[in-house]
Amino acid sequence: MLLLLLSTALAEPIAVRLKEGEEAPFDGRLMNDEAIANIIAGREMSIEQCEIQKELAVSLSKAEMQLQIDYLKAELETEEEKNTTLLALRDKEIESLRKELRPNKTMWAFFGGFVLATGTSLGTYYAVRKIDANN
Amino acid sequence: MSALLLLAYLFGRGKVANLKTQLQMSKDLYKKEVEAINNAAEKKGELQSQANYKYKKALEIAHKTAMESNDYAELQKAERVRQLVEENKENPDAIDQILAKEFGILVMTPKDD
Repeated sequence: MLLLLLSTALAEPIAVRLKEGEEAPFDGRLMNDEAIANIIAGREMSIEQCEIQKELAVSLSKAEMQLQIDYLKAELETEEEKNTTLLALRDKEIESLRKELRPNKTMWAFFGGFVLATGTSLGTYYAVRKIDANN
Repeated sequence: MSALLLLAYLFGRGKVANLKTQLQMSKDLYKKEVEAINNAAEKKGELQSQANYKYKKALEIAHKTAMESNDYAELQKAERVRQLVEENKENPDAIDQILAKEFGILVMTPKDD
C-alpha cells in the first residue's frame, strides 16, 4: 500500500492519445484537442501577457514620476519668479529710502540764513549800544 | 521764542512729511509683495493643473495601450489555438512534443502502455 501511494505521489505526468470509444488505461481527465491547444497557447501567451503588464506598470510609474517632476518644476519656476520680483521691489524700496534719508539742503540753507541773520542783528545791536555808551 | 517755535515747527513738519512718505512707500511695497505672492500662487496652480491633465492623459494612454495589447494577445491566442488544432490533425506528434517540452507531460499511445 505504501509502495502504491509512493508510486502515485512520484508518478510522472502522462497523457495517452485515444480514439473515440477506446478504453482509458488509467483514471484522469480527458480533454479534446481544442482544450489541449488552448492550454498550450495560454502558456505561450503568458509571456506576452507578462510583457503587457510590465509595460503598463512602467508607463504608470513614468507618468507618476513625470507628475512629480512637473509639480517640482512648477514650484521652482514660480518661486524663482516670485523671489526675483520681491528682490527687485525691495531693491527699489531701499533705493527710495536712501533718497529720502539724504540731508535736506534747503532746510540747512534756511537754518544757516536764520542763524546768520540773527547773528548780524545781535552784532548790530551790540555795536550800536557800544557806540551809544562811548558817546 | 517764536523763532524757535517756528524752527521746531519747520523741522518737525519736514520729519512728519518724510515719515508719511516712508509709510506710504511701505504700504505700496506691501501691496506689491502681496500681489507678487498671489500671482506666483496663481501661476503655480495653473502649472499644476496642466501637470494633472498631462498625468491623466498619460494614464489613459497607458491603460488604452494595455487593453489594445491584451485584445491583440487574445486574438493571437485564438489564432494559435486554431493553428495547433489544425497541426494536430496533420501531425499529432508535434502537439505531444510541445506537451513534453513545455509541460513535462509524457504522451503515450495505448500500445505503449
